[in-house]
Amino acid sequence: MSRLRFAAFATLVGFLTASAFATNYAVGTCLPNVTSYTTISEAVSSVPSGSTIEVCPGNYPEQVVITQPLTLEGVPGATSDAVITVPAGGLTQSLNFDFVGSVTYQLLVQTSGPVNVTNLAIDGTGGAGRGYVAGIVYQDSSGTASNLGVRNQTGGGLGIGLLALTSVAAPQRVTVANSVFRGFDGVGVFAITGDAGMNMLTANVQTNTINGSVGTNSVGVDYANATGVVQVNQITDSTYGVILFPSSARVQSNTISAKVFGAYIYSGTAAFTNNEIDAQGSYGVYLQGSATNSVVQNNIIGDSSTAIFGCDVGSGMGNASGFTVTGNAITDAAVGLEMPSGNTLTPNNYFATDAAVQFCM
Amino acid sequence: MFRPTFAALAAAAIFLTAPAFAANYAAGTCLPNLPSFETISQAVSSVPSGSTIEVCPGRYPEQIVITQPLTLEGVPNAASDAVIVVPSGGLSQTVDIPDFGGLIPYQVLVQATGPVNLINLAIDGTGADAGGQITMAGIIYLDASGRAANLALRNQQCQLDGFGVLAITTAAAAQTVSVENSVIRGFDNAGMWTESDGGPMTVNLTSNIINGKAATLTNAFVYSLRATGTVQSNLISGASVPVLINSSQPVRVTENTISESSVNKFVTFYLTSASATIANNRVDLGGATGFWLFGGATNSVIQHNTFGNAGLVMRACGASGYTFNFNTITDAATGFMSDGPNTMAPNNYYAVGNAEQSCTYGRESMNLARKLPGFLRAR
Repeated sequence: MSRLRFAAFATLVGFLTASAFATNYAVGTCLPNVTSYTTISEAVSSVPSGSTIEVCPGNYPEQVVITQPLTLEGVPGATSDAVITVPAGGLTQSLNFDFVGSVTYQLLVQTSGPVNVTNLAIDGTGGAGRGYVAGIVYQDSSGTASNLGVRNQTGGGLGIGLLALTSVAAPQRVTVANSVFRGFDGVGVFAITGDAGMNMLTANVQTNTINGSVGTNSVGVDYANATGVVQVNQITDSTYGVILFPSSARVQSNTISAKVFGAYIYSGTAAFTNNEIDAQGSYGVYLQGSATNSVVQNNIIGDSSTAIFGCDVGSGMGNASGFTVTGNAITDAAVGLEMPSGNTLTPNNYFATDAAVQFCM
Repeated sequence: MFRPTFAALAAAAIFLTAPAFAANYAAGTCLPNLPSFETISQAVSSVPSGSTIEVCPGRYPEQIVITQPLTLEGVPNAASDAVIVVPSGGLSQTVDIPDFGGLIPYQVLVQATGPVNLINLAIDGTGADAGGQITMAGIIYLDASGRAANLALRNQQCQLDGFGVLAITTAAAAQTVSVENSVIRGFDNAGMWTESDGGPMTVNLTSNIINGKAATLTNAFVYSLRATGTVQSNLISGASVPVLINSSQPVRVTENTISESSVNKFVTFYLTSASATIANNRVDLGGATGFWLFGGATNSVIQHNTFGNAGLVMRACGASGYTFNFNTITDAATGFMSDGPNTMAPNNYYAVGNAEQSCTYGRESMNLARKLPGFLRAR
């Protein structure tokens, strides 16, 4: 018994020693016993791969580029926060993607990772520029972004909280958790792949608070040819709550209040289940295109003009087909379902709904 | 073996026979095999106690008074809905509730009885102020009990104070009202207001969607004057003060998703001398203040919630007896202010400007104090 314990202890010590060179560094002056840097940019380029960098409370007016695996975190338990802000001259560094265009960033991750970013505020105030502006960009990268306050990324409707983008044929996995995204005028969390990276990106977005009240055309969570799980998020006041265009993502157990569509699902093999939508008098779920059995099941949809709509009314995206729409509870809708044929549409429950089911004109 | 089975069968047969006189009736003409009434009002006053009345799809411009136990429900699985609307002359009938400010116009009044169940109906208050009314309610349970489920309660608004559901006791008997799986929206005072002006009043709000987007100063729900109950698993948005608890009796608010209104934002939780449990909720504070606490609380606890997007999360200045801990707070300017004997730790703060600040009593609190008597009806 005691030999076993000793062996376990020795192994533990071995672990601690082996990784010692990769442990803590600091930015700022709050941790005098740790090797410290003045700026985050200096730290992330100087420390050994795999290090953890603690960021002291304060404002950091920098554009940060991370090209090696590491963890960047605000000092845990600090009484105030570490905030990455826009430099006095604005955001001057940008990327160019052939399928997106110019993207200006505050924090850019360019390594297969993992790069973990946690307990930081990233404030885009004053950072509007040409094209897209994003708080965090994971470019062909993996890692976890958690416990963040990502805010005020705006600029002509192209402000993005977090952009995960894959354009090479290598699988990437980005997890976005327990964070607040707000004050963006474009998209809260955007997961997208270019041609070469088709379906290479898995983005898991969970237990975040995403508030799109600033934008007149805002999207809470947007997936384009990316997959993953979107779950237990609180998505509030966006124009469009969730867009899957197309995707094989599972979107489940979220609460969504949106101004135009709770969710828009184009084609794909998506599963949109167990969500609760306050449609604020507009569309609950809008379906378009030919799906490979995308399912919309067991959702609760209240206060909608049409709870679930699948007719092409001039967009050219095509009537919805191949969708399974069952087990949903629809309360207080002018129209419950307005759908073309070619989909599975029963059973659903309708309460206080003016017209339960209509077929496309 | 044979005898008990036969006995059970006989008992079942008696059961089936006994309540037959209380079984289905209809309002409207969609169920020709049932005794039918032209209006809901006719039906609810004519059927035997304990009946179920199926309401056919259509519009019913009526003010309805229910004074006996019954179930009123829209025909299940109908292709369209039954909507109770405001009569063309407005809401001319009122009920006198002296402790609640006098004569209150209503759309459905359930009075001194129970259980009365209201299911699968739309109750639309559009036009309620046609007669210049300043107060009205979609449903009033006055000294009454029952269940309101799968309803659309909408547009209860008038010159000043429109309520989705009012549940009030004035007599000594205890009452319980459950509001479930409903949409409550477009009110200009409160989605649900309950108070005990008499015996114990319990209201349970479960799995509703409540949206107060109609007006400048709205509450999703209010527990006042000794009312008690549980608020669970609701989706609440669009209200300036979503949660108002002004009751000394226990109120539990758990597992809700709440977002502060993006316009007319004010404060998400307003508690005075409460005995409340606010736990396991997920709250988007919309950049505004999370809690204003007042008075001496009797063991009010605020625990295990997730708060995001706040100015100041917790203001407990001049308040005592509140416990605020084990919460997770992300993206706030300030965590808490407290100067009374309150418990304010431990909590987890992420991306928060300052975990703690000293209490201030500046212009903001004066403005709030001036506004609140309107909410509390100055009593």
